[in-house]
Amino acid sequence: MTARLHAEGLSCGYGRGLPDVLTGIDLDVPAGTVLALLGPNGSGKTTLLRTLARLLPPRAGSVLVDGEDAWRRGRAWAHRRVAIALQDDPGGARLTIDEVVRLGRASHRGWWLPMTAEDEAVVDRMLDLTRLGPMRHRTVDALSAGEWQRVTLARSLAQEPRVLLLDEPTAHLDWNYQIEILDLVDRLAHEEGLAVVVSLHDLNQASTWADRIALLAEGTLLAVGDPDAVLTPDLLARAYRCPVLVDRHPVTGAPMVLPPPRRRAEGAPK
Amino acid sequence: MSARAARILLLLAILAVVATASLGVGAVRLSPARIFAALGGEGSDATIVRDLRLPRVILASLVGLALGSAGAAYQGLFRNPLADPYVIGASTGSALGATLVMIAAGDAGAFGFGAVSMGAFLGALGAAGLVYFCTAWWGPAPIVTLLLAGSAVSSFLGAIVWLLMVLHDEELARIVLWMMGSLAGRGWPAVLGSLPYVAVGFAGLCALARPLDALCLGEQPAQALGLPLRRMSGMIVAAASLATAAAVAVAGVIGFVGLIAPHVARAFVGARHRYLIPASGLAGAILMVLADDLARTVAAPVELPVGVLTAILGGPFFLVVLRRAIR
Repeated sequence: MTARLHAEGLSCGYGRGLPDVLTGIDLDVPAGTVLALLGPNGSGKTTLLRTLARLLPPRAGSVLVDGEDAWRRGRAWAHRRVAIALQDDPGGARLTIDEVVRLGRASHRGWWLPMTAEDEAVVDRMLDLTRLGPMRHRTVDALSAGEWQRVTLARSLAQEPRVLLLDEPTAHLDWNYQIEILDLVDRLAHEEGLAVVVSLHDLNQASTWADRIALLAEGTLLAVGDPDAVLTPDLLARAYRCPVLVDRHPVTGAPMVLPPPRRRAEGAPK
Repeated sequence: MSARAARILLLLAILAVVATASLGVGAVRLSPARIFAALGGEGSDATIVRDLRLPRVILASLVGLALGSAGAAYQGLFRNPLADPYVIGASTGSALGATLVMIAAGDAGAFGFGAVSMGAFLGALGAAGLVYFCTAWWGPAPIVTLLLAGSAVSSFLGAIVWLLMVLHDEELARIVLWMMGSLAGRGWPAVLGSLPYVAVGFAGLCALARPLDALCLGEQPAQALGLPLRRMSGMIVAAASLATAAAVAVAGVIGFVGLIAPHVARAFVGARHRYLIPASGLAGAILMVLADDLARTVAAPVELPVGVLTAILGGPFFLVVLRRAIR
């Protein structure tokens, strides 16, 4: 059986003459699972997501969605199946939440065809799912980071994708909003059957919410597997170039990454 | 009918009232009763209203419609509340294109159509395209980058126009008038000549409302929606340049109407381009008719070039928007 999202021998990079950011990436994301993308700053998490989303042409290799090559099938085909929520801000846009989420339907209606009742229903459902319904007529330039993150997510979901790519959806959010977003991601994968790839900074969030983890470092995929296999002191020290401790979650038993003790030894003179 | 569609109708009604009232403004003041009598009657009133003022008011509306809708489109495309045909250099490009054709083709008629309009269109397209692709290549353009690029392109093209003026002093008066922008002395031929260009440009911009909305989100997210963004941007530049050229070919360079109109329209109907484009066009038409009334009367019997007037009134507005945008 082919995985919903499959990447093979992928090399990604920007600009002519510049070296590859990533090489030799092989990934499988089955439907109904969450893959967390980890790696230090600059390791290519966003680059990989953009390549998977068909925004950045791969230098080599291919991206398959349900066994078909996304680049060969074309833009419209791909964006009806793959949605990406990038880290951004509303800029100066004065559109309302409702209007932004509706734009997600452009992937199905193109630049010209009018919205149908079905489109309206999808927009309503995604606004409910992200709990934005009551505030749908507010303009997006005055939203908090957490609210904007939910708008971006709702817009991506309005594309009714089979594959959802999220670039650090918990960045700049308070703890409660982070958990809220990740719980929603969890539901989308395990109840709605989406294949989700989510880049994260927090290793413990990856351990808690991801079915599998891909660790990017040194320009390639250092490791991929379930949290127990990837969140090991050896691999993490190699990827992040600093020592870490790995313990267990007291309730779930999932691996938990702890910071090493302070370098200045306890009790040392001030 | 949605509330926003109703507000667009309200703008249309305001335009109708303002335009009708404007028929009575000028050297000979006419009461509403005399205006309506003149529209259907004979005599000197009828000549003034039907042959002089009516075409002029309609032309002002068309020019305003073109500049307002083009301004809204440029603001959306550049994601910048300060863009307008004048600020980004499209108007000056248009004037240069038209001037070149006029000089090269001998006397094609200063405000004639055909070759001159085509020159104006190519000039607008060249200038807007240059500014757009420069800022796109340089990465996401902060507000100031666009303004600098626009003003650089604008002064460059403007300098060439001045150069042409010096080299062809037999055309001097006509080119000067063009660079200042005026609606004086145009009649029905100018109305009928510009109508198709304005109509096509305006309709094109209305049709491109969804891509313009998508562009508000930024280039990457817009691309992620699966829209052919490059092609759409090209079509937006083309349609906005066509509208700009239609206005410039008939009225010369008129600044700031395209800047102010979308801000007025946004207060009425919000930011969604499906409503914003038509509302900006109507707001531009209202502003333009009012500005032309002022130009005709404020220093009577001398008539001011309306472009000079809009620049005097629009400059301070520009600074207010700039301050708000930068903060």
